[in-house]
Amino acid sequence: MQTLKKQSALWAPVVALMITLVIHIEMPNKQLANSGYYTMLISFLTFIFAVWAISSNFKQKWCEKLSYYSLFITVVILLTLIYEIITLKEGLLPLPFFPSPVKILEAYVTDWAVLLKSVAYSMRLLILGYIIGMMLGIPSGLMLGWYKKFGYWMNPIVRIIGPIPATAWIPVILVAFPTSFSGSVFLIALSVWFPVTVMTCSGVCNLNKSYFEIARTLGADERYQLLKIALPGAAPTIFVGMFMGLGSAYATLIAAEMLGVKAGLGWYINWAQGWAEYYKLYAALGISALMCSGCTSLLFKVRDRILVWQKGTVKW
Amino acid sequence: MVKVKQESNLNGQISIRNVSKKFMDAKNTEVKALHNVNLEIKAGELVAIIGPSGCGKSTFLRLISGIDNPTAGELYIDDERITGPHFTRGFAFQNPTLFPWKDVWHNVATGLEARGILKDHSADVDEYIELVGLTQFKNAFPHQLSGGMAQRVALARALVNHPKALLLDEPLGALDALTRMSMQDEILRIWNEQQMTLLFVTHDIDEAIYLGDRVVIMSANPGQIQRVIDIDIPKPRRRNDDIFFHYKKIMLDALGVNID
Amino acid sequence: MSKKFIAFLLAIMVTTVFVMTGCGSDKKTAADQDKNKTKTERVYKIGYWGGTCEAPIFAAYENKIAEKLGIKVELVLMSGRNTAEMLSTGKVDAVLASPGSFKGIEQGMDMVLVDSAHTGCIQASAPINSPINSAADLKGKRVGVDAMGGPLMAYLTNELKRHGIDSKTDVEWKVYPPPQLQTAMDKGEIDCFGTWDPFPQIPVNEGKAKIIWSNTTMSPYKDYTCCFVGVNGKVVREEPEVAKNIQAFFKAGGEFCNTQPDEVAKMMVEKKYTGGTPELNAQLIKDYKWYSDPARGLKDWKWHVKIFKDVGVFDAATNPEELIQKSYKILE
Repeated sequence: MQTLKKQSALWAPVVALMITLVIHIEMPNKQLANSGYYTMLISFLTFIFAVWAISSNFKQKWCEKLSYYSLFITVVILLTLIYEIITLKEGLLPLPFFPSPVKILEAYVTDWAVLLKSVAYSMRLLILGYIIGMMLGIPSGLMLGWYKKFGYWMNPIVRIIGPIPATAWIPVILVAFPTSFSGSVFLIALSVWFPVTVMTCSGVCNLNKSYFEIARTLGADERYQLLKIALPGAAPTIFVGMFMGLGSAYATLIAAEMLGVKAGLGWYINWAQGWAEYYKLYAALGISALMCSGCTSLLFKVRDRILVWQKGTVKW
Repeated sequence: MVKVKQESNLNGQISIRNVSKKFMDAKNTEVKALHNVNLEIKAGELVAIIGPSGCGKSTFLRLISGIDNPTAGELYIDDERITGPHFTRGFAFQNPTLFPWKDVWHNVATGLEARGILKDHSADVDEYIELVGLTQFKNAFPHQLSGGMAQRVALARALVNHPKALLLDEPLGALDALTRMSMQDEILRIWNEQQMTLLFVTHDIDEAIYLGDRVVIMSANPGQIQRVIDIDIPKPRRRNDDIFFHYKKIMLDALGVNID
Repeated sequence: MSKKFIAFLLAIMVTTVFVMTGCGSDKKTAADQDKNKTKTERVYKIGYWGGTCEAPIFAAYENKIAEKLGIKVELVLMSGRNTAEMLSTGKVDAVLASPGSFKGIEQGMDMVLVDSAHTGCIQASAPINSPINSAADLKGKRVGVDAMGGPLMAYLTNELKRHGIDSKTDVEWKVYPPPQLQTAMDKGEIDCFGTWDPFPQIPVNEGKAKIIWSNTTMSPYKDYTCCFVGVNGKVVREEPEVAKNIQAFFKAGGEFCNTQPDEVAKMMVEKKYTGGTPELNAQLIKDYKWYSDPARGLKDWKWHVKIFKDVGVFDAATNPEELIQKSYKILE
């Protein structure tokens, strides 16, 4: 069994959830919403955290994890409760701009099929666009950093095209591309290409020239210097560009899905916005944030493997 | 003792004729790093280059390696004009400059990989790692090595191509006194085995006398060879011998430092 | 980093946030701001996004109706997407409320309709050689729209119902920004498209397309008001005089559209209120019927609410009577 202090940390989320449950059920609603789903959700969460708290008394690892996250979780629960009170229960914030958490949950419940389909469609677009953007960006960045002549043409292009917002491209894209799908992929790829190119170029240019001098004395030709010295040397900076590209891709999703897609998070968000159903918009944004966070974690894992050589040298 | 196969016909006779090198410094004034330098180096010789800061010794070495080109004059190795870097002239900086993304083995293998012959000669990599005594660490990454170990890897890396000439720019400058002395013996040992021409730049008078067949003393403003001294002590040399101090006195005089 | 330093950084961040939102809310609503001044300085902010059917606003403004009414009017350009939001948060006092705002009203936007403005401004076209001639032919086809569940989709769904076609399973809806709809149709990505004028009309005028549905010319839509006069709810409740003046402003503007459509069209293009050519705008203005009739507006609004509920654009949970009660007011 754990100490009293530890116990309070372990049980804090459960207590917060139970307070939420009581207030949610007992306080009357001032706005229109289906409370039932939320009740089920909170009850379920209470059960989960109770199980976790109990078993933490027996499993050390679970105990550590729970007590570590306990403060954050409890604060989030209480903030959500406060938000529910000022929206659903007291109606202090104007609808439809500030929907209650109960209403947002409703969006998940009623539209789960559409949302799932949208996630799939968006993922397809994002993955294609990201890969293409990277496959174009890294070579461009390498060439840009290596060959002065390349920069003569590329620099103006990068500087002018890069900052153009995705929505401005829409009229051109639809005309220029054979299908609107390829146009949408292009938009995402473009948003990824820009930071990846800039960062790759920066990474190459900032490499200590001693590396290249040594390589030349070892018999390295230009190709070897570019692919086996510049590229791995610039890898840490390239990864920064890739993280930025990930964020750009998600941000461009809304514009990219304006072109006649059948489903997608951006499409769903546009729809919700047009209908002023902001609770649906926030629901979709929640999913988008989760997806982006998941992708970022995945990218971190990839980076950690490839850049394992950095482990002793930089703040990890 | 590991005997490494001798493949190439090692010569390594270097001629430096009327070489000058000018730079533009940060304030856009012309700097005469080297002015009208002439030197003949025999194949297989061990030459130390010493001098005050700004005398152009590093520039000198870089010109021989081919990393930089002279503004006037020519350099030759075995009667061939030096126009750019080549794997037959190995180089090591004061900073080991190991590739941080490669482990020790792959750092050393770089020369062979760059020349496209790694597959057939991968055994050479292991041999040279053993030559510098780091077989235990062949899978370590540069950040895990001490200064002395890293410098040894840099040496092995330069040697893996069996260069005719090995050019070392203050290779032991960043090391503590004890490590330096053991590394000096390492270099001597390697030079004895490989028998390539070895030029090294140093700040350390004792080091120059201990290692060099000849010592080139340079002066600054403009960079020039002031004097060349033959060190007539048979190898292996001992640092405590009186004759050691005899040469030290000559060197100090030449460098303009009074010890009395 | 010492605790003091961290606290200092946090304080800066929080203060910045508060200053930014505080500066924003200083503006409050146009109404509140001007209420503080004397009555004669109450500036009426009328929002527009540059559509042909907002002609009454421009006509009234340019013909100095404001002076005749003894009020001060300022036109505010908004982006087409957030007209309803600008209105319901009080950033503008009135807009021409198109069916695009209907769903927002249902969701709680504080907009109140006070009068009718005109009939018809939404159409759908198909390529001139297409086998599609009306909604009856849309089974299995791809229809381009400007928004999911937008007015065009709502009306077309209504039409499809009449022909026994299920809008959810028998028709594929694809969304594009309005200017891109024609391009999508030209490229064959959709079989027809519908949205606000002038977009569907342009290819028809060029001889490349034909109208397959229109609420300007087809029954029963042509007899019902399409666009209304929308006023910020707070203004209606707390400043009835202001609301009345707005209604009169729009009414006068509408009259100009009836009597001098060509001049109005020419003015709108010259002063860059809207795009397109004077001829195109004049054609559209002449097609619509402009009238001010609050009672009829109420009747027509009830019809719209019923249609939108029937086709599922409005929530099933919405009570039509309550909605109409809240969102339409005949000013005394």
